[in-house]
Amino acid sequence: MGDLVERFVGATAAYSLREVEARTGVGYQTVRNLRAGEWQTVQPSTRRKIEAYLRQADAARDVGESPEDAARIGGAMEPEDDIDLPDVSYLHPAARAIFDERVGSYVTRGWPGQIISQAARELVAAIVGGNTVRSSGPGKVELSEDEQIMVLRGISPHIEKAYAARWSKR
Amino acid sequence: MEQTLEEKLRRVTNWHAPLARGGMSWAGLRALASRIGTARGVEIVVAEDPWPFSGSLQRVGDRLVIKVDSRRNLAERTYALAHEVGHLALGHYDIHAREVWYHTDGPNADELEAEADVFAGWATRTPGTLMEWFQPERLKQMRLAARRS
Repeated sequence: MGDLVERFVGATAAYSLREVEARTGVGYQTVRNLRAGEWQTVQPSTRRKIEAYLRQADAARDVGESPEDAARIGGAMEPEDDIDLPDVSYLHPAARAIFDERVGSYVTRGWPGQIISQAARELVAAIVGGNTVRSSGPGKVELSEDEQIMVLRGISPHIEKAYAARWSKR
Repeated sequence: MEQTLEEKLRRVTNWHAPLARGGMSWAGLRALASRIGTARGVEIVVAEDPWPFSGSLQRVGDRLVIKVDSRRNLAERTYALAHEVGHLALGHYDIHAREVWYHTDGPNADELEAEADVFAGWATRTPGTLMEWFQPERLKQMRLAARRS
């Protein structure tokens, strides 16, 4: 593990913490810890991201490309890693289809798994929260299918603005 | 020591002078939301869309998004925005926590909702009624009326 971290730190030494996070998916605080030699508690998911980036870097060096070019052209890192989707069993069918389409688009565009997980939670937050608010009043009234669709369509553009510019690779 | 509602209203009104005049418009409330965001280091976005709630507040990425139901009339939309801004102005939420959906909960939920309604009434009131609104009895009446509604 130490060699792996040393190679990763060496390969990303020219970038700022935030740049490394954007390029590799490894959180900037983790990168800071790795640069400080604190790698003993590296999580398996972080190890996979480090290994994926180093594979890209090695492949790119063989053909004279930068690792970023290699990732963009075809050897993408694995954005599906560690996607933790919220429970959406309460979504009506049409709303569920929209949710699946949105999350699928995030995967297709190469967003890191952690970001997809967060965006998915934000997509349905108003539905979950709304059910909570409504059930606290007299009688339990959950959001209808139309209302769920309204939420998903209303919040999607904000998720796009918050994440797409930084994370979309294709 | 926890501040009373009157103290919180005085403090935020001293901080944001247009509140003293009342009659805040949609644009004025958006400006207040933006100022709160700047002061607290977070971008606050206000958006109108068909929405199943009169107003709501949630986190998206590093921003806070206030959504207001665009299907309602201007007065209702303005009041809904004032209510959500009231939650922020009165410090009801820890906006730097990673919580995605902000809603009042727990034993003080009714109290916080009533405070946000009082703030909304304060911010959108007919201009020129400054002094009477800081009378404790008046505030008590407003809070009771908000709970009953």
